[in-house]
Amino acid sequence: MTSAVQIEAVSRKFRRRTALRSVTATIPAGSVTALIGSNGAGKTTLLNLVTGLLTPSTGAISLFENLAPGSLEALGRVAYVAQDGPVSTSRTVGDAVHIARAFNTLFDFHAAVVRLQRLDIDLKQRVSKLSGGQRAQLAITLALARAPELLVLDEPLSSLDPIARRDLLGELMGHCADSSMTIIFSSHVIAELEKIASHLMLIRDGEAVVAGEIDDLLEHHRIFTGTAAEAGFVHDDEGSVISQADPLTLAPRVIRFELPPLSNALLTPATLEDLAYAYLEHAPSGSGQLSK
Amino acid sequence: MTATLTPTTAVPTTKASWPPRLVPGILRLHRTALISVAVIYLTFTAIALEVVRQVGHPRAAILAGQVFNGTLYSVATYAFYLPVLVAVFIGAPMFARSLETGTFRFAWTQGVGRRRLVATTLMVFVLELTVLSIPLGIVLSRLWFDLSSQFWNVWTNHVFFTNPWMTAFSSVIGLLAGALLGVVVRRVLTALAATTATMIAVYLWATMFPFFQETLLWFVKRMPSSYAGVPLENGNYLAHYDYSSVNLYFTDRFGHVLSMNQFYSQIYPKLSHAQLVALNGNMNAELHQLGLQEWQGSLFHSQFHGFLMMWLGFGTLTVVTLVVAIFAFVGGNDRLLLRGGRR
Repeated sequence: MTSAVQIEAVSRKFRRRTALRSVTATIPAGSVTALIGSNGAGKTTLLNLVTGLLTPSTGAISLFENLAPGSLEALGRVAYVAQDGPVSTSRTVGDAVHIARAFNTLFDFHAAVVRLQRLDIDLKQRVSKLSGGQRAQLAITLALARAPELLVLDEPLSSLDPIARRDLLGELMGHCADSSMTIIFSSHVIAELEKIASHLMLIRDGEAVVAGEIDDLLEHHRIFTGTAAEAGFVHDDEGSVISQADPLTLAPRVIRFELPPLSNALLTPATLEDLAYAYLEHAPSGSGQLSK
Repeated sequence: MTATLTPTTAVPTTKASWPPRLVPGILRLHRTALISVAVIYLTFTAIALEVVRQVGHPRAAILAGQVFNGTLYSVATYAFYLPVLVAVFIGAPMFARSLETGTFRFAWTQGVGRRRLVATTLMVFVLELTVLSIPLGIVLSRLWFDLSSQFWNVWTNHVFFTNPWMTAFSSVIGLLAGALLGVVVRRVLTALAATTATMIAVYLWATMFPFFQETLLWFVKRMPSSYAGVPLENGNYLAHYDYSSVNLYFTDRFGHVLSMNQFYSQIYPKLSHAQLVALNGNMNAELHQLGLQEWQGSLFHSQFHGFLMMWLGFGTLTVVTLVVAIFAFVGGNDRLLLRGGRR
């Protein structure tokens, strides 16, 4: 399996603050990777590094096996939907589409216009007059019209209403099925990410605490439903406690196993949400390992 | 509200090379600023033209006691400050606005690459300013040269600025200085303030220490043969004289610039009485007797040509320095030129 993004021991420092610490991960081509982390964890920094807006302080990132982020070759194959507005807010939506066409070698102008019309976004309307959701849709439209091989989305769902979220996720799934597009998806809406993501990368305090294929990760994690006393029977040397349900009784909540555990009445399958909360809230530093 | 974009069949844009493809996008993105610049420069050109049309020869009109539209004339004089306007209101927010609002993330991740984007943006504005500045400079030079006796001397900044080339250089340098400060501070208001302060400092410096002083005579040093200095009897050349004060700069016969200290220690003692009278008394007649010519404002004057060459060198150097600095702050690793073909 070829990789779309290869991240090797990447760190990024901003003056006094270290935003990312030695992050290593591989994002396979054609995958949909959910990037999860609390506010300020370093998600946007990582996405900025992948798109070439920033350069790593140490380590290296390569796209499509050998391209440097930000290089002309890479820019032609990567589209980035940042949290901010797509273009100057003083311009119209039509201007934004024309500008995007002028700024790209490949651009499906007709499809972009059709999509905006279907979304009832007036081409003559100023970007500043659009709602947050419409701006996000405009940015996504401009990105999709480039037919990128790697689509990087930084919290695109946050400003969308539930229907628009559902539609967008369905649309992105359609793209993945129709093409070999790789998507990196940063979001706090974990339940919805579960529907589309095939891979997970979880960042906490600038460190990638877990990364890998979601099915594989879920297979190795279980929800423990017993008491603290019973916990020893299920994990001992085989698994490590990721989070505790009750800090007083020290009863484990989520347990990671080196091998998929046998069925046990005290263990139930974990969801992506369980996993994310466990690693973000409770996991002691260094408890997570990168599976890839 | 549903929408789909399937199948994704992005098609190549028709223009293969990047500047023609990018220019329409830049024109749309910076339409307001570009139109504002055009309106301001054309307005000043029209005002200056009207003054020239009314009196034909302002100095003659003044000498003859004729009355012409002093208000229009006063307005035209403010053209001297156009580079400040360009620096503060066009240059400073050019990149600072998108850096502050975050829209640069959109622009700089498009297929064209951020360096090409910045290069094309600068090219469009520089071209516009150059095209608009030259006619303005030509008209203004007519006013200033004709009225030169009304001002301190012919070497004032106004005279230099109103040379068509210098009008263009001043505007472009103002634009680039503002753009650089915008890229450095990345905030619109801060960039406006920093650019305003910088331009005021430059203008104050220029007033107190005219541009053409020794430090800027580097072009004379580098290319003495191109400099048409006025020869003196002792073998030196007069590089600059200012007949309202004793403010002289000399080059030796090899084109090396002598500082005032060098002049006073090495040359002054050797001057004849007539030369000393001419220098200390600032008497034009004596200067003529020494073989020096009083300045006659003309684009074809040999001495003017020498200074123009110097200014072109200075202007070019400054522009190149500012552009390099802007690209250094913009960063990016996309190449302006692709090896082995175009995108």
